[in-house]
Amino acid sequence: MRGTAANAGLVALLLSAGCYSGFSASGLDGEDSAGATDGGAEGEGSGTDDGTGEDPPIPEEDAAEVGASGLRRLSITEYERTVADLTGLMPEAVGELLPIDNLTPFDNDYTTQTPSEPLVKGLELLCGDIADAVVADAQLRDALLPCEPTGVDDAACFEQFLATFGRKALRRPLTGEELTRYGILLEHGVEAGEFDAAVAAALRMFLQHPELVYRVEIGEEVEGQPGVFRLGAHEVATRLSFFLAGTTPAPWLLDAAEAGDLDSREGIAAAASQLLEGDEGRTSIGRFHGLWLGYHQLADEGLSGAMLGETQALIERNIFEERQPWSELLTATETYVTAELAEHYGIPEPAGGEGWVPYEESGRGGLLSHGSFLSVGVKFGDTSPTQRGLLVRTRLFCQEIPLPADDLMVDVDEPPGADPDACKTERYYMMNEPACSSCHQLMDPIGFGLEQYDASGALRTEEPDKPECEITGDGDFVGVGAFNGPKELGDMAVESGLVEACASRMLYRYATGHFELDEHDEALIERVLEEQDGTFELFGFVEAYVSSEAFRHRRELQGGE
Amino acid sequence: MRHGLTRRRFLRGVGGTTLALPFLEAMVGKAHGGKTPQRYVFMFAGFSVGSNPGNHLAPSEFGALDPKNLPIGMQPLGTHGVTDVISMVSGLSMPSAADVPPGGRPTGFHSTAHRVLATGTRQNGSQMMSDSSDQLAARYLAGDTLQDSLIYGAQPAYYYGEGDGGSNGVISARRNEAGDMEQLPPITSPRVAYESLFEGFIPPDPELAAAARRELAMRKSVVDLVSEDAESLISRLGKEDSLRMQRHFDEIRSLEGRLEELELPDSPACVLPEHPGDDPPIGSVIADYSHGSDFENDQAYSNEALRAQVMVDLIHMALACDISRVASFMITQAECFMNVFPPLGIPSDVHEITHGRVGGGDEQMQALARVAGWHLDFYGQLTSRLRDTLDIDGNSLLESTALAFAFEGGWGYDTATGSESSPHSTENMCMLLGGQAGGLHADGVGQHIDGAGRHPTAILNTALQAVGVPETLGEVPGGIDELLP
Repeated sequence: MRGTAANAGLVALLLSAGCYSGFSASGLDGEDSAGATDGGAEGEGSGTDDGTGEDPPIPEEDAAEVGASGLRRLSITEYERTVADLTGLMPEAVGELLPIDNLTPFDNDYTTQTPSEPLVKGLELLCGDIADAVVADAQLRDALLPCEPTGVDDAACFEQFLATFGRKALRRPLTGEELTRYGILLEHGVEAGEFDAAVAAALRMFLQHPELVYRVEIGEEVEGQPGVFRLGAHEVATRLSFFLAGTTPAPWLLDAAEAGDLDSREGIAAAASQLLEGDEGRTSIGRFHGLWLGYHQLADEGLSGAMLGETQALIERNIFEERQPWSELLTATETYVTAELAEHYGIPEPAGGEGWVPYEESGRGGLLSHGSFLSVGVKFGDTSPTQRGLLVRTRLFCQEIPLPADDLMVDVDEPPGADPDACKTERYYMMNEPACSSCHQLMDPIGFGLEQYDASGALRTEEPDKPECEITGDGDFVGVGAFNGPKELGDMAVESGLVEACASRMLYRYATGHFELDEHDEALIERVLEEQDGTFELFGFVEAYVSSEAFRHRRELQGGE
Repeated sequence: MRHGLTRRRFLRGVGGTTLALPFLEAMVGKAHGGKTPQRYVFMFAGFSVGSNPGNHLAPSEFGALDPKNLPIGMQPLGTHGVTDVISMVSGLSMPSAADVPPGGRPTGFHSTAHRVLATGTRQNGSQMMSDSSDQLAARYLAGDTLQDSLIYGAQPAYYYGEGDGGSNGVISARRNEAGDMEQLPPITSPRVAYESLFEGFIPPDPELAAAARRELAMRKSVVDLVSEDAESLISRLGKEDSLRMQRHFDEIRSLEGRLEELELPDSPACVLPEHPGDDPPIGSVIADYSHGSDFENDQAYSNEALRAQVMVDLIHMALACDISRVASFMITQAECFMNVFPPLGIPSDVHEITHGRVGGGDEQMQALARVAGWHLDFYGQLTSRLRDTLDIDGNSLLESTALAFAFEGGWGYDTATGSESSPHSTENMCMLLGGQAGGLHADGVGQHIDGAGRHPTAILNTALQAVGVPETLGEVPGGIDELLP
């Protein structure tokens, strides 16, 4: 279950005293005009936030930044964490029963999600398992019940439970009509002779409810701006929570929504700061990096676990504790290692078995030296200069690799070169082939510059099982300059100015759940980067993004768009 | 687990129970005018293997199959004794060009060939653009069975790179009532597959029956509420979102319809299979491909052998109980990266075997043929069991069934690179057609037939014709006449 968390009143108090250490609230326009209140009013229909219809238009330049959003299903990780936070139970077999997420590279891209028979059926079975497990555990069950039932037919207590749990599960208060409809589930408890049976039925229902499984955004259309919708407070709370904590809104955030604290951009920024500062924020940003740079699949145990810890430590220190520009991750002069990992890298061991160690003259430097990053891009039994170069170009610089011809799909996965016994520099001949060089010249030379580090990040000077094949580590960032090793590549990448633009776009994609960006998305990203003098500092970017009108609006594509 | 009976507990306890209920002759008669229902099964293996000499898959001679003299890849069919009711057609070819011809694929092989094969239609990006063979069959054969079609897959994860491999794991598609194409992912969880078939089962014991009915009623009322709320959301969402929610709602409605007591014909063949238990864990991606020895474990493997076995069992029983008459079984995903060390002792994923990971020449081809044989073992099993299962009319189920088997690709010219001997080819493809529906194998002889460059989807057309489907697939007209009398 959630740990302690400030309530909305405390957030307001901190804001008024100006003593919170979160966002600086720079760039905000001061008092905001009254925005949409949440639509959880009792009465008709579903309680999803529909606003009040009193939304004033927003300035055109702000409206131009409002991007499209779509019905986004919780990823497997998000669903697991949501269930854990709602019930106290970490569910098992979610990955076995539900379809695996597609990665683009993030696992929350709604444009790749499809409702399906395996999803619906798997979900129904999974929810039954979870419900049964929760009510079978007296401690978990008692934590969910806000009252002590007087008997199997205690309708009042059941309604209290529905209201309390339902608010957290559906991320908004239930309407009276919903409480009445869902109240019929009490009959199952009566038939079974157990109040728990009714609780289990209700849990089953909520955990497969479309408003839990999907992030539903409706809002209210802004007058004079067709296709632009102002989100309700609960919808904003949901956006904040899944973006910055990777899970369902905590009770304090729902309280903030209902108190009107998320009706202002300052309030949204304050809530974002609180989320980001928590443990869940660090985990979520760590996960963002793992998905972005491709190392999320490393096992969290042994040496690979130490590599994950190494990268997470650098992220937390640079981004969370020191608020450095993101690019500083590529030029870090020390790293956090265990003794085992240090020995593996060939760098001095940390005192006390685990800690920060300077790179000194090792040739390593920054995140590109980490085993986590270097573990990505292997093929044919060894590191692939092409794959590593592709990773750098597409993920670190957000560049597209052009096809050599419009009708030729790049799908070559034969072992490169006619002679498998030749050295890699000869086998990777594609960069010199006229038909292939336009792509491979962009990728392979970068990969060769990392070749002295194998797939586990260990240093080597010859190819595996081929002592005659020397590895020099000489690489070329075509168009920028020659380099040798990850440290020099990192320095060069920072100097090129490409990483800030790419990192900001990747974070935006992670936040918004779609990889393709249109002119509205680009308008916001460009404006924020410009305001930060081209520097991408994660906290600053997040603050500016969540404080924007775009964050609390959505766009529905009109016909022809 | 809470006290009292839950569905899993009593389903797990009553495997082997005959599902017989009072004879419901009307159930058999009303859907198809007293005629024996016809069945169609499509099975798929996600890799390339050709009929070229030396590939150990197709027999060296055309003509009657000799069960004592089968190539490595086909030997399981001999083991199961089904070479008299299965034929192979080799030397098939799917056209490939930059300007894609009808029934053809683009020059890039991966993530293209399987979609064209299943539908006979050129694809649009990653989308199949017409009904796949199983869905076309379901339109004509499903009748009022509880499940129009079964869509199963044994490989639950892609195992390479990112995520689920996208559409490499999908081989069924249909055009819905609104005219939109729906890509239909398979159920890969044995537990989901089992429970969704038999969730309406009420055991004979009175106490268990009462508990089962209560549980079923509870599940239905829960799903009813979820369904109502999903439906109410549709009209309140934007256009794109409402389409997604409509699809989700449609699946919920389908599930609602399944949460009813299961009524089945009185047939000794209809026996509740054992519950498969919890699903095996999903295998991890092999992060370090440095050495072949890194495959000598169970990474990139989710016990597909067990999963496939469960699904063969379920398809068999679903047909025997007339729960469904159509099944699509994607044993492995296209461009299969499943590790075959656990099932076969070969330290490689399937895809890399086709690219020489375990050596070249005959060593490579033998390994590939063994992988083909692993897949065909399930095909042979199902064929054998259908033959040994009595239909309600007293004949063998196989007499009303056509089972088609396809490999993703063949071996030959790669239009993308110009290589003459490549697995990225749809030349020299092999397909198999089994069963006895519509006169198939009426003479009791399985054949090796020269496909002579005909389209592989023609085999599916022949299978459909055998079970009485009056349409052909997509842009591929005609079938293989030699297969039918």
